[in-house]
Amino acid sequence: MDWGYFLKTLCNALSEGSVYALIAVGYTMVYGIIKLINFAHGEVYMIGAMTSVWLFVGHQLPLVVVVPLCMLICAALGLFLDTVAYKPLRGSTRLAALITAIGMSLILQGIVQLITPNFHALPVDTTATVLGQDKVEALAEPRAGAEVVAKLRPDQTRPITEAGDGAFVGVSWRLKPGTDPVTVWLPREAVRIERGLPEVLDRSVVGEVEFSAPSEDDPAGVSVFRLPFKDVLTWITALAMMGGLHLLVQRTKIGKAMRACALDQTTAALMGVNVNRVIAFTFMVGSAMAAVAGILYSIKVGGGIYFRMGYYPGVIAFAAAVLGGIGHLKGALLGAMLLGFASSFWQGYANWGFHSLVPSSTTKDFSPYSFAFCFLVMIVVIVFRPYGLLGRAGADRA
Amino acid sequence: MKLTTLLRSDWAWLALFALLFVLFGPLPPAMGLGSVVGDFGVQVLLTIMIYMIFGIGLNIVIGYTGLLDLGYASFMAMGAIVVAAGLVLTQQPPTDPLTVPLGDLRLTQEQRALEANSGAGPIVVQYRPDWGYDVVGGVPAAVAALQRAEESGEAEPTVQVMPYAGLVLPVGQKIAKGTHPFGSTGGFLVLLLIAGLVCAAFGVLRGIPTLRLTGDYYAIVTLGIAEIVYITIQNEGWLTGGAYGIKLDGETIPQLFGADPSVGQGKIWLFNFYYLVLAALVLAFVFCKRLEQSRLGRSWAAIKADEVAAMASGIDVKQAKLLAFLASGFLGGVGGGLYALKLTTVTHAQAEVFESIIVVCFLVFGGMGTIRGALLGAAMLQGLAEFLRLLADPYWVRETFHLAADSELSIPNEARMLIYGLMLVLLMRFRPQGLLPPRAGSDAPSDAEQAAWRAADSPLFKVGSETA
Amino acid sequence: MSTLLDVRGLGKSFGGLRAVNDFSFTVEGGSITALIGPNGAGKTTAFNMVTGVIEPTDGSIKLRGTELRGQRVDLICRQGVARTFQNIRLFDHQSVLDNVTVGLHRRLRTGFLGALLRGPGNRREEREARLASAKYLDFVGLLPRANDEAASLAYGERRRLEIARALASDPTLLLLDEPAAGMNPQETVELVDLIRKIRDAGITVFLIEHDMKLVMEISDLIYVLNQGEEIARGLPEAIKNDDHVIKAYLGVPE
Repeated sequence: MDWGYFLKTLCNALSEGSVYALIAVGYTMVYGIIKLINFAHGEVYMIGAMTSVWLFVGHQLPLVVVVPLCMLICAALGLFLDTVAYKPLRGSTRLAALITAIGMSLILQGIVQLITPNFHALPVDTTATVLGQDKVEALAEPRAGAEVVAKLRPDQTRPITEAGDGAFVGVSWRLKPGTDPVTVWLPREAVRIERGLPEVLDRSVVGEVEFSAPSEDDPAGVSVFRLPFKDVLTWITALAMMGGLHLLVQRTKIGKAMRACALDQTTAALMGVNVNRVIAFTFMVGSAMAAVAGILYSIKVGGGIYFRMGYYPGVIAFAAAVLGGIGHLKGALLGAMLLGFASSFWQGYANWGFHSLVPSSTTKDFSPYSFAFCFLVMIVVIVFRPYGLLGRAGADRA
Repeated sequence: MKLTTLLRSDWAWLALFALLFVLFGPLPPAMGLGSVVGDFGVQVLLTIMIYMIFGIGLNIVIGYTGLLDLGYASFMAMGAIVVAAGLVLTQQPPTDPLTVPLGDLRLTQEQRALEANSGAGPIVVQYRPDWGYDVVGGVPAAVAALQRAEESGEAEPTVQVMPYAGLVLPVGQKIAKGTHPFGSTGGFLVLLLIAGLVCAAFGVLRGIPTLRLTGDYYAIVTLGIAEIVYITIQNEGWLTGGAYGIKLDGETIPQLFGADPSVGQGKIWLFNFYYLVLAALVLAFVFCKRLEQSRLGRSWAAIKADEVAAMASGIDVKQAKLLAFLASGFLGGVGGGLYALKLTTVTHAQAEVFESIIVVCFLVFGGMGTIRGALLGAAMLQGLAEFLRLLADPYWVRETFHLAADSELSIPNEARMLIYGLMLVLLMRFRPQGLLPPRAGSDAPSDAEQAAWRAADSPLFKVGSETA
Repeated sequence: MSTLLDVRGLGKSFGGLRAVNDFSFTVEGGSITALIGPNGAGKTTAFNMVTGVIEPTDGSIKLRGTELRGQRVDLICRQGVARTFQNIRLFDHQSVLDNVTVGLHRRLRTGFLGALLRGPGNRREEREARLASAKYLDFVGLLPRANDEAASLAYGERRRLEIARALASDPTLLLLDEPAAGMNPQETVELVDLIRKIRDAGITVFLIEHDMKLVMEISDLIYVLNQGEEIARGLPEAIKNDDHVIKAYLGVPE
């Protein structure tokens, strides 16, 4: 047993679960009150991640500014979604609202796709872009006269892997297709440097543990587990946000109104609750939580920030909300953690498991099926226990 | 007949579209196989017809039975994969040699020398319209035959060649494709039927766990299953080609009604394929229309309106739903199989959730619950999508709208998603029933009709089976 | 007269709430039997259990000796039990005629393949089904509205259409859940005639009703439920003067 690997998987599972939980609360609160699967919620998360990268990287703002700003922007987006798209449909069928939600999801994806510069991903790494009109020689070592290993075209952008001493910067470069990238050195004056995520978020480590991990090749092998700061940050933030939300729902007047609307909108309205305002507030709170999820994701993964990134986490977070029992905040946390664990441990251990169970399958890679596994969990729960793990039977939501 | 009555008639809409497809489709061989709308236009019309079949199929579940299915792309993709994989995996190497007029063969001096020394193997010939045949490899025997013919001065010498990938023959020339079980029209139709049946079976299988679900839970479960199918297609490369997909070429694409896709730039083949798809569309329409107007169709409508009342009227709701999934899956599989031939490259992209949503958009736009809505939705939106594809090309925009020579004006293709999204939102807000919604009411029966009904005798009419 | 429906010890619990408790009753063939009681007495719950819409917690429901409990709703309908609903459940966006044709469902044969092939047998069946539906509409007096959308009917007409749909399944037992609710006096009079006509044709009627005048006028036997328990049974005259019934309806004076 490789304990270092196990801890790494565990760490990923907790972070993944934290992100899902923050998205899932938005689904669960909205569904709890207006019985709508807000398909566009994944896109709110995507826009949260996009905005945070834009602020971090593009404007070099510190985290304490980025977080509230993103939350504010996404809350406004949530309010916009409700006011423009869903509120006019309060009286119509649930199917109409669901189709509208799908439509809003497409619209948001479409807009982001059109306005993001390269249609694929926003840079989160600190990058070097080749200047001028001519190719630049990349060297094997950071000194003049070292061996030339590659030539980079003008405008080519590569992530910086080593800062160097000022005269040269090290960038990651694939020498041959299919090989792992290595660090090659470019003259500092030949490139334009764009800063990515703050160093402290990207690379610092909270602690380090060593385990002996003997293998056939290396009987004295050790496996090292490094606990990254960004994962700890993810857990603490998610926990704090969930706790705050719990207090908001349980202890405040507006929270009470939210719970009343979830139970019975008509009665709540008769009791003097402004139902439309409560719904709008719910959208705003859920969207702000999704923004935090987006920020945490962009810090943790540092890549794959593009217009479709919201789809899978969105659907899985909805699955998490259903799994825990839709309408329950604790259920959303529980469901999200379970799916985070299912997904991460599948990725970490599925190949090992299948290959040892079915020896003939060793050439096959099973890890891409992790999301399929999450979807399967969701389907089984909806079919056999539609009220979720913490929900009660009888409250028929199917 | 009044115009409003015509507008409410599915048959009138079918006739209208069929007429348009014939008018703008490829002309028969006697008239040169061209088309008013050009080659690109014919491809667009083919896509529209195939998407109409998808629309008709999905309408059974969404429109008739009232269940929002977000996973129809699974059927579209599986049908395409069954056909593509069926064609590729069963392909046998060709065995029958082909006789080609030798006069069409051209060999360079070096080739002759090379061929004379090379070992045995099939002769490989390539046809070039301006040039004749170009021998790119072959057996000494063939070269010898060529030399012999040149020396003896035979009037019309021929040489036997083995058909081979890349072999292109002039109009009218047939290839004996060796043993390809699905390589003929009949074989392809069988394969298409298999694709339909596989998807029908998958529809039933997928339907079983969802029988108790309605509304958004049904939608999200079908979405989840579609994602599982998508991930599976992406990762099971042995069957689906994985990320690269399955490629069909002149060898694997079946002959249709005697025409080969690699003969004469495939024009006759395209003509035949075009009308095969049109026939499939008409058949799909009749298939669906007959179900709609039957006892089963009434059951679906009843389930959509009120499941409990439907049950209390003696309808086996589960069976009726499964039959809807079966019929819908069948049409998806057949449409997907046809789409495989149109696309020639079948990838996992066919199974993406956006593909499902596109077809949902057709129905929402045209009006959920009517075939005419599905037809109109597919025609308008798929037409729009193809138009957007053109608008994404600055060159086309410049030429078409006579813009300045340095104009780079274009609309990115990505705008399609945005436009579909806007359309869904606006329709739900202002016309949730779509453009051509179902209409139940019609003119009241005349007194004469009523009298005739009263006077007629029906064995099915009885009140009370025993006397008190 | 023989016993058509024999229900013993029927009970239903929703969580901790006992909606119906140990309710036994019989419905004689060819009779009109009424089930009355204040709101929330468990009458509709009892109906729903007989028709299979909800599963009883206890008891047995026998139709001519055949156990109905645990059977699917559509199978119970196939054995000759038809019903209407308290809150009228029509297929709103279908024509009035089609609503009745759906009711004929269990008596038609055409399946999936038959519909696709559309042979002569299928076409004859369809023709006869349309005709029979029209005649059922005529029976309840809705023939002139045959081609209208069901949603466009007036309240009383909707009730009658629901009855026509139920009759189309050729029931031996017809359950009517508050058929006169929301009707004006004129419509109620017509309804009484219709129910009598149905009974005279040989169909046993079992109904829930709040209109006491109607109940007393047409019922052969009356059961009274209160808070899930049977508090009285008997002929109309006896029920009218029963102390328990009066208390249940008017409350107990302090």
